[in-house]
Amino acid sequence: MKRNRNIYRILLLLSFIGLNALLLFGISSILSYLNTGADRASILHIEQNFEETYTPKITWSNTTNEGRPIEDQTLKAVEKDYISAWNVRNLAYATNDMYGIEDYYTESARKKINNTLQLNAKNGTTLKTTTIKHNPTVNFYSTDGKLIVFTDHNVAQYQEVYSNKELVSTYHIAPSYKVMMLLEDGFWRIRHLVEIEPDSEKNNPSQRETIDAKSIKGINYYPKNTPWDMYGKKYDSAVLQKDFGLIQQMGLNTIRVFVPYETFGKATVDLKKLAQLKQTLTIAEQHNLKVIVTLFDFYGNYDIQDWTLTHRHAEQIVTALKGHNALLAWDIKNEPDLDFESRGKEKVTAWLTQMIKNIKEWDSKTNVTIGWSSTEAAENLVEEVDFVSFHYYKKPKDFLNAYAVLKENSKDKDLVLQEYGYSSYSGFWNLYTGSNDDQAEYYKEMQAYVAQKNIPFVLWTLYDFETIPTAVVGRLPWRKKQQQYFGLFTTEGKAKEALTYIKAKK
Amino acid sequence: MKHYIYILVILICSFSCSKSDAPKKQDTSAITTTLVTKKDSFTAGDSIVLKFSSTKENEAVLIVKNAYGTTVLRPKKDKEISTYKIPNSFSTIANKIHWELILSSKKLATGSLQITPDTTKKTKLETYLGPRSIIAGGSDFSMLVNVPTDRLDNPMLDDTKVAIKHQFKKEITVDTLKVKSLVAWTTIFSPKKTGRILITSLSNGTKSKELTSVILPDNASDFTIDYTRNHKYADGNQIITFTSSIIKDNHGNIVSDGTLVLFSVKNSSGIQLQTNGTTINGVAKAKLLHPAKKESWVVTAYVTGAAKSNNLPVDFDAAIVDYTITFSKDNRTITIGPIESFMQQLVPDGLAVKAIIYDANKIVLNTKETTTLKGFATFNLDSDFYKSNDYNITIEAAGIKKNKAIHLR
Repeated sequence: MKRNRNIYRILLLLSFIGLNALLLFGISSILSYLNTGADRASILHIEQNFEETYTPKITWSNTTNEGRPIEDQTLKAVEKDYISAWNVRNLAYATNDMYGIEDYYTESARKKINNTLQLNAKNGTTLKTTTIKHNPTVNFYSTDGKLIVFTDHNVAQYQEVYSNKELVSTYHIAPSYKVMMLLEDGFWRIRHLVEIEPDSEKNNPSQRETIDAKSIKGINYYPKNTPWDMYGKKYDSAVLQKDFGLIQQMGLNTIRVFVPYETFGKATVDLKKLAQLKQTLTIAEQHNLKVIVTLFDFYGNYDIQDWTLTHRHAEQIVTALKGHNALLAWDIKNEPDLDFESRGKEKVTAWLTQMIKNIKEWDSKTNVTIGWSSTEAAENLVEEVDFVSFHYYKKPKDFLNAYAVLKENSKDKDLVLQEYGYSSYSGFWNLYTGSNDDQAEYYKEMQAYVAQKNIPFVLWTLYDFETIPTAVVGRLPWRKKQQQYFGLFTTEGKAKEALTYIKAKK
Repeated sequence: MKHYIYILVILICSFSCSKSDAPKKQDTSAITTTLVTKKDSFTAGDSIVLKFSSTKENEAVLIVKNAYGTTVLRPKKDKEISTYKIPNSFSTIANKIHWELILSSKKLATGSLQITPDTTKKTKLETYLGPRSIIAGGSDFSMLVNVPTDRLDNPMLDDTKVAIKHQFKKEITVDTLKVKSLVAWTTIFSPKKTGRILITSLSNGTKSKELTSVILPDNASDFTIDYTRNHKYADGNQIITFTSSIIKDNHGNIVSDGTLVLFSVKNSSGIQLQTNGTTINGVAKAKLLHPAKKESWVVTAYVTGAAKSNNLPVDFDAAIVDYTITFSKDNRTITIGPIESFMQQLVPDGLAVKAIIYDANKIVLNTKETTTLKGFATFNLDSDFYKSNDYNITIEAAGIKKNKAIHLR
């Protein structure tokens, strides 16, 4: 009986405390809810730095036009609003919503767009469109500075047409337009847009004198302490000097480096990092190493809205580095086939095709390739690349077969084994089955095949890494651990046995 | 038992939810289509229908594209004949239309249509005139830009004619322009005279509204000035008025009302005085007070940055020839006057009189100023300040200076 009463007491006390705790929690969450809201600084309406969203290449040619001579400042204003007009129209057709059209089209032009938009909304048609290049020439500019007519020659456009969310067709077109814009309310707005006969394209498949890829004997490179993150503050040219010296001693002649898209500043490339990349190439040159520069590392969007941004990114890097003695090839993207499933194969290959076309235009002398993750994937876009790069992480004994199949399907293009290697990890996650000997064995076998078929190779990698960023192989510890031990040297800089098979290749 | 039923129901549900609407793929390899419609150029507003005949009935869609947008059309089928009606939003826009017949991502046929503006019906005419106020003389101009469109707002083709007329005074000028790059434009230069140019344009029977360009006078040219005054005496009281000639530009147009004219006066001691006036009907007037002593002025007027006048000399004679100074018994009250003007009349109130007081060693102690009242001016030398002693005093009025040595008690 007494025990029972004690239990009641305890229960009563506990429930009282619990009720109080709940009450306090409730009050505090109400208070904190009331304290949330817009950032106070937003009252000030400080000018926002808008991120660039649409950056097609626009090149004005000769600007001696009829009427008033055009001022640079006006031309800039017209260009900005004209590009915005394309951008809002692209977005409008993607969503069938007139949002933003008002700002960049006059009332009568707006009507024409609206009619088609409503039709598309009714039929469930959507478009994904982007323009890649504009080549406008001013025809006429009025004396009062409020009316301009220009011809936009051969506007390179890419369009995907969807009907009820299903892709119907894709286009690469380059029509020319006559455009009339009026200055209204401080905006240059499109009044008339008329398609005219396109100029005959100068289709000069410019002779590409690229360097032979057959003699590549190389290694994928990241510094020991800063894998996947070697630019910016962590950049250290002394480390590169030392490592490239080491690679040279190993008898190799090529390195492959990576340019991360986002940390390099997306559409506006960080000039400091670009200079570091350039210096990396220069240091490589000092050690007689050629460099394969892999662009767009960690990029995975491929969305049409994103095209022009990636174009500007690549353009800045390519034009800055082209002609560098150490430059061997542009690798558009590392293992893009891994995004086929999540982003759609068409979307990824369309992006790659356009990017290759652009890069070949900006730099006609350097090889262009794509670092496919397997021999099967490497059969994509064979026509477009200068040499075919593939990665191989499967069993060595299947290598020659896979290679033969790819050779068959690669239309006589050179094949480069651009990544392969073996992790010497031995620990909990693989039940202590790996070892340095296994790695040595792997290289012994692979190097024999490579020598037998005379295959250019770029192995993975120089050092073991202490840490692997999550973005590389995900969070799973058995993957991360595995990835840490692919080096020919340990983190302490000690050579592993496998090195002998690489060096022997001299 | 009950449980089994539940499980069964759930299983059935989950199966029925799974995807069943796989797209009906048609075998496209065997199908070939031909365009039946032969016509490929139309006038905006025409009803456009494309007919295709194919070897087999199919669900091919027609993608239609022009400068403003793209859309997907579905066919109306009659066995092997598929009919696609181009929607109004495309058929009313004079432009190129590209079409593509697609069946399961395969292009069966492609082509294009040309739609030209409808020239048979009345044209619409947009006119843009600017700048709308220009300067006379033939170097400045207004620009007229005509943008003719058909009734469906399609810009007219190159070489479409636009007639323009513009009137100035008695003269009416007629001109014909041709559309080039969507616009037909011309410049209308200013005549020598001020006034208004009225402009109108006409295309395919459609008249624009009346447009006006105002011709403003050019910059002023050099001019002359003169003055009027009541008398020539420097009495510090009367007002002299400067008047410009009618100020005109180089083409004989009177400058715009309100043109600012600055009159700059240099006096005998080299000091600048200024006054200004704005023009009405080309004439500017400005005023100044007569000096209080004999003076020789030189006056020049300017329209800043554009024109100047002649140099005009203006002389003033002394109005006051002399005056007397009287002292009170203790010499502490000094009375100046009566001061007489040019007709021996008492000077008007307000003539400035100055007294400078020195000590015996000619060191200035004080300067006092006052004005006349009814012909007299008075100074009081207070005993609290000026102790009983010898002083020198200078009186100055109307440019006449007089020195006195006094002893204050």
